[in-house]
Parts: sequence; C-alpha cells; structure tokens
Amino acid sequence: MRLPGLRSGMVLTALLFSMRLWSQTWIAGEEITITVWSYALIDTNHAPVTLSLSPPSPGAPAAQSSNSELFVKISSVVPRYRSREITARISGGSVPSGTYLTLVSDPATTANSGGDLGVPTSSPITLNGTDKNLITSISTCYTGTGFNDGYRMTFTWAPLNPSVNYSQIQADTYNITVTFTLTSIYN
Amino acid sequence: MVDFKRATLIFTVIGLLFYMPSSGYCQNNNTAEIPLMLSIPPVSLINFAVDGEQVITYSYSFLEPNNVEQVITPNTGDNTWLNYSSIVNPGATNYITANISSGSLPADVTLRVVISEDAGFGSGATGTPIGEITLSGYPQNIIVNIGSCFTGSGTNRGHRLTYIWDNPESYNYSNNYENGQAIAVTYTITSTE
Repeated sequence: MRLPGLRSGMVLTALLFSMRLWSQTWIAGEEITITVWSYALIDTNHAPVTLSLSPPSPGAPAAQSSNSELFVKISSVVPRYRSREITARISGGSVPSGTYLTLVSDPATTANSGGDLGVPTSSPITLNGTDKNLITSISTCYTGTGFNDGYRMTFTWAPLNPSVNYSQIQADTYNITVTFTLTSIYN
Repeated sequence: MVDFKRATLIFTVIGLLFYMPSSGYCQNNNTAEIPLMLSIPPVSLINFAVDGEQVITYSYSFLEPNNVEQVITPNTGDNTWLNYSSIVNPGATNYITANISSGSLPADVTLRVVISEDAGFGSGATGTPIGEITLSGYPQNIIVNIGSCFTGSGTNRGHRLTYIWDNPESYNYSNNYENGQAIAVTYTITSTE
C-alpha cells in the first residue's frame, strides 16, 4: 500500500490533537492542563529613559527628576481564579550613591485595551536588585500595542536623605538596566 | 512515495507544534529589559543673600552662575551671606575666590573680609573657609575643599561675610559711586579640575 505512511502520520497528528482536546475537557479539575493555555507576554515602547540631577539655584540641593516616557504592554491569559503581577527590579548597574530611584505605574490606558488589567501599587516602589510588585491582580487582558498603549511608567530620581548622604553624590553618567517581569503562574 | 513521506513528516511536525505546551515557549517573553541613563553633571552655583537694610547691590546671572559681584561700602558690614550649590566629579573639589573687580581704594585704605564657617543649614561637604584675607584685584582663595553640597538659600545660610575697612574715612563712597567707581568684589566658584 502507499497509504500507511500518510495514515500513520495523520493518526499520530489526530492523536496529538485529541490529547490536547482530551486534556482540555479536564480543565475544571487539572491544573497541569490549565498552564498549557495560559500565556504571558510583555514588552515596552522602547522609549529612551534619561534622568538628570541638578540643583535649580545656588544654595539649593539637587532637585528630583522624573520621566514618564515609558509604556509597558502586555498580553495575558490566566487560569480561572488566578492572577499575575508585573514586577520590576534593577538587573544591571546600580543607583548612584546618595540617590534613590522610584517607579510607579499609571493604570493601563483604555483606548486599545481590554480585560482585567490589574491595579498599580498605590505608592512608588524604590528600585533595587529584588523584584517588587508594581501592578497586581492582572488576569486575562491585553493593553494594545501602540506607542502610548499600556501602563505608563514614571521613574523619579532624587537625593536620598540629603541631610546625611549628600556628600556621596558624584558627578558622572550611570547606565543601569531595569527588568520588568509579568509573573508566571506555577501550580 | 516520496510525497507521502513528506506529507507524513509535515503532518507530524504540525501535530507536534500544536502539542507543544504554549506556556513552555511563551514564558521566555515574560520579561522586558530597558536601559536607563542617569546623569549627574558637575555643578557650581554661587549667589549672595543680603540683609535688605544695607546699601548693597549684588548680581546673579543664570548665564554665569559661577560668579557674583557685590558693590560694597564702608557700611556693608556683616550682613552678607554666601550661598552655593556644588556637585563634583570623583576626585575633584570646588573652591571660591574673591577679588576687587571694580573701583580702586585710596592708598591708605585697606579692605579685609572675614569668612565664617558654613551656618549648617544645608548638607554635604561644605567648604573650609580660609578665615580672613585682604582683598585685592588678584583672586584669592576664601573657601576651599568644597565637595558635593548645598548651603541653603537666603540670609543666615551658607558663609557669613564680614567686611572690615581700615581708614574708611579716606574713601568717599558716594563720590565714587556717582562716578561709577564704587568698589565691587567678585566671588567665583571654580573646580580644581
């Protein structure tokens, strides 16, 4: 026969599909299957983020500096009753001595989004090497893909406790990397 | 035969692709990295704060924020404060000089200025005052070793300046002022770099 090869391939394919379908019917009770269907995608609008510290007038300390150019975009599907967070941390370089860097998110833009887009933390987080929650209770949703779609991020850089630490501030350019994570859901 | 084998392969591959757990390869995309550039430029800003009761003029320019000029008289006294903000490069410091930048003094008149310690209303590495100098046309250090710091702005902030005249009666201020010959002192903040 000329057909068995094709037939066996189709049978295998059908079997694989059926396993998928089979497992789908178990969603209500089997968390393992649920993770197959959830997904988490995150990206930014790649806007350059630059901040500069400088005193505004003689006798004054360096004023804080803010930047709200960056938007974070996500697509998320979660299992029922589960949610994700967006966390942020410094993954490269470090914040200069005598200063601190905070980050806070606006609620997701509404123009091109849908679903449960979560809730930003009410106050800014201070960035360091450890992941901290920035937005919580993200369920199944999408933010839109435009340059100004998603969560607008505001970075603020300022002298840290200047009455004690101000002399540590040194003129220079400091490059750091911030990593955003849309958390995975493990069982 | 060949076509069937190829078809078999294609079906199998398609099947495997669909079977691949979607979470398995999408998780790779669940982080996003962004570069952040933080810059602290070196800064040296200086200004006066003066008591309004005194006959004093002073100037501060955003275009030349590192020097200020003060017109002084025998009555200027001690109600002038020098305010500054400084951010230095690693290994560098700023220093402040003073010189008579306008007018001339009679031969028997000398003008001294006493620079006090920083009043402590700012923070950081405020400078070390030299103490007292006799002013001349040549810039002399009056405050050195200024690191990254700020003094606060206004009277009673920063370093108090006290002018001392010897034989002030020989100096006719109002006559000189009308002739555009009033004594002016310029304070300049400069980096050691």
